[in-house]
Amino acid sequence: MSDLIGVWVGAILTLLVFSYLLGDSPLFRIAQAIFVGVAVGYAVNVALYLILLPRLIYPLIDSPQQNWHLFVPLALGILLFAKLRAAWSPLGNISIAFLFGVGGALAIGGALSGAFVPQLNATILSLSPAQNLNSVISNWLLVIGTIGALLSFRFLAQPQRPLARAFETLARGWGGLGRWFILIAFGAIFADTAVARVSVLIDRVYYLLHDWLQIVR
Amino acid sequence: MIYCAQCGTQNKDENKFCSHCGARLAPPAGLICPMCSTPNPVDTVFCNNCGARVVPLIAGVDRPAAPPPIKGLSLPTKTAAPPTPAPREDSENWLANLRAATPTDNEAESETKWARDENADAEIASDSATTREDDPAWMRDLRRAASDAPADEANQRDDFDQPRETRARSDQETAQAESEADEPSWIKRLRESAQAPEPALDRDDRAIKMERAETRDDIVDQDALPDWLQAETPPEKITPEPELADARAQNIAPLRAEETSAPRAAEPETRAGEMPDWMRMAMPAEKKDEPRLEPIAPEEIPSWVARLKPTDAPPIISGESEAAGPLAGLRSLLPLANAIAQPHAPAKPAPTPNGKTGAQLFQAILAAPASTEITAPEMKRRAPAMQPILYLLIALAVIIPFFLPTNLASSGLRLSGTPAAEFYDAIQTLPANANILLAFDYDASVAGEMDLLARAVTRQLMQRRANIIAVSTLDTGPALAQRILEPAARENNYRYGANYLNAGYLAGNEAGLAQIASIGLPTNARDYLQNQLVRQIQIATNIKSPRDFALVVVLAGTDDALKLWLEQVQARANLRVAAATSAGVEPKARAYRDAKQIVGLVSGLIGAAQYEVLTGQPGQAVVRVNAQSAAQIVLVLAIVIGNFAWLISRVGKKI
Repeated sequence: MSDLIGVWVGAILTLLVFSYLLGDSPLFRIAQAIFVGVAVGYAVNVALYLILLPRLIYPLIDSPQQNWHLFVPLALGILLFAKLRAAWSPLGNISIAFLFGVGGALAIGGALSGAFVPQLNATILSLSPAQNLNSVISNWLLVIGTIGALLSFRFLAQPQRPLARAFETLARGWGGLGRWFILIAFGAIFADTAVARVSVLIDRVYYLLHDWLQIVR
Repeated sequence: MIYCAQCGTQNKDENKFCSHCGARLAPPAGLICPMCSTPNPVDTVFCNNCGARVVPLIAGVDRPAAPPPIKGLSLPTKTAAPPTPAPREDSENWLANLRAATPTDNEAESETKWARDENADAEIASDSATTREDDPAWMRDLRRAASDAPADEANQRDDFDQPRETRARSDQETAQAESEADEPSWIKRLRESAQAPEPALDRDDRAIKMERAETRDDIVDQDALPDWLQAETPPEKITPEPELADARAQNIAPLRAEETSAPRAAEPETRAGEMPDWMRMAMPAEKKDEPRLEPIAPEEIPSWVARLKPTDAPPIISGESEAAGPLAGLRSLLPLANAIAQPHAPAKPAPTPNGKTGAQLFQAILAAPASTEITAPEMKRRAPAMQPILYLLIALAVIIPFFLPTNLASSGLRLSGTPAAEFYDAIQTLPANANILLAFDYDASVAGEMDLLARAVTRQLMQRRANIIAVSTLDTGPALAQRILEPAARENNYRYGANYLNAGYLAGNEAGLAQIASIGLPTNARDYLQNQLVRQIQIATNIKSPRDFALVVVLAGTDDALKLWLEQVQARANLRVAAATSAGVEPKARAYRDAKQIVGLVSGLIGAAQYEVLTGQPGQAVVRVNAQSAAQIVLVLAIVIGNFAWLISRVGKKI
């Protein structure tokens, strides 16, 4: 019975969201308000019953001597409430500084070791024709496209010296080619996003036809 | 904080001119020392800085006793009579008469300063009737305005309103009036120029002029005076504004007699005559050794010089009487200071010529009748709305394939050499009972796509009898994970806590993931179903470090989630990571695959269908591939037809 109610509620809410195809309406607004409210309530529930109570409050109540180190996050959390009043706001900066400092340090370190260096190494490719044809073409395209994309962000005045002028002409042409690589990459990302949204649409249609109406297998 | 009397701007206490309009600032409320310009509290009698008197000596008003004379620092009393300056031959008769009418320097020196002030007050009080007839016009105006005050205050006000220097000077004018006829021509020219109306200057020009002109010599041509007068006439400070001059005179004027009675050096730049004794004694020795010239009594200043004082502005005499303190009973002593002490509203700027012109133009526009009526531009005819048609086509493309008897697209799925095949191989090569960390990092917005991938991957992992520990960096992730894990566990006889575990929400983003990279599982994490410490659950007891995980499978709904796992876990702990992502994340995830940061990549509905075929259990993903293919065909056709139509219309316009 509960499954049946859940299916009906899901189906009705799905139809309310689809009503946006006919324009903004109170039906869509109702569904939107329900989703936002449920999401916020769920987040508060998770934060309270999965984080604060079992990991901070209960250990401090049960054995404060053993969990004395939890007073530090408790104090930092309480200091955040100082942000509610302008006069006490600087006290909350301590917690904010701790959060941003730790988060920033981890993010920068991870970006360097987990994204920047590996991606830079990945562009150091062999352009030797001794490999198979697919690899040669792929590597050449990757190198040409990467350098061209970088050159497309180079904006300089036309130099006067002949050698510099020739180099500038080459850089502009290569940068124009790199701009096309960027456009193609953006188009691919947009197309994949559209495909993902179509997949979600198919899931909702299948839900209505299969779980609610049960007219398809 | 000093408020500018001109514009109301707040200025610092040490500012002499307004930082906004440049006007000279009035001194702060209190008594300004005439010697060192130090502001003192209102009840101060002697300057806190230099000890000079800052309270006027008034007849009939109680005043504090004079300070005891300090030996060596007091004014000279009876000294040897200096030789009386012999009348010069080149001086005129009127100047000779003037000297005869004034007391000699010896007589002036024979009295102490305090006694001299007493005598001056008494003389002025008794001779006020006669001196009023000879007062200058500005002083008569001042007295006429003060005549409205009660009679009991009149004497005090008259005594105070008249600076002692002026009162003493008024005695001279009786004798001096006779000698004016004998004045030299250059003095007459000076008087005429002084009596002529001053050319109108705006406040800025006046402020600049006052700033630059430190002494009267800058205005009065010093060459026009005879040599003896240049030497004897001290440079007089110019008062910047009439109002401010009056306000300052109230603080300084009562002390003029003291100032002028002090010995004054011949050099104007040293201004020794304005210094008290202690300051003169503190001067360098060579200064003391210099021969001191005889001081000039204030009475020797000719009246025509006194008349050069600006008298255009009416004196400020309104105000309330002082209720207490040494100035009790006096009125209008510090009216401007009181007014300045209160915050002022910024004065409205004067209208500029451009502003006036603009206002007139705006008024003319408002007054002019509307010549033409504003008509709304014609709405451009638009092509028939294509959106409903496109919606209808996509809906048909999505719905109709579900009713087709055969699956047309699934037969064309390519499997070998695809990223999905790499992903499949990465799991197939896992040893039995390998520990797998399964991250459900997607939310409900992409669940329709990601659930298919999660089901396929979980099913294969359970077929491989891997120990699965599920976590999520999103608060909604554990619920979605439980929806996938529970049916798959029932199918594969998996037991919660022994073969699989939903470790719940991993808080902290980077910090939480860094904890996994360092110690494997957070020490205080609690599972989603039983709310127990993860470390105490059977499946997690053998996880001591991240190296105990044979593979990390990230089900990423966004590229940020995948990036977090790669940057914080893969890079730090050097773990093997496989990614199953939404179709929208695939372009960025491919870069990680090409860089060999992930060992396998499967994405989107098509990837899920490929994976179901690879595992030999076609499911809902394969069923939906037809709809996905049909919808993509419709979208491609719409893009191509739309661009073609746009191109045709553009060519038609050119033709």
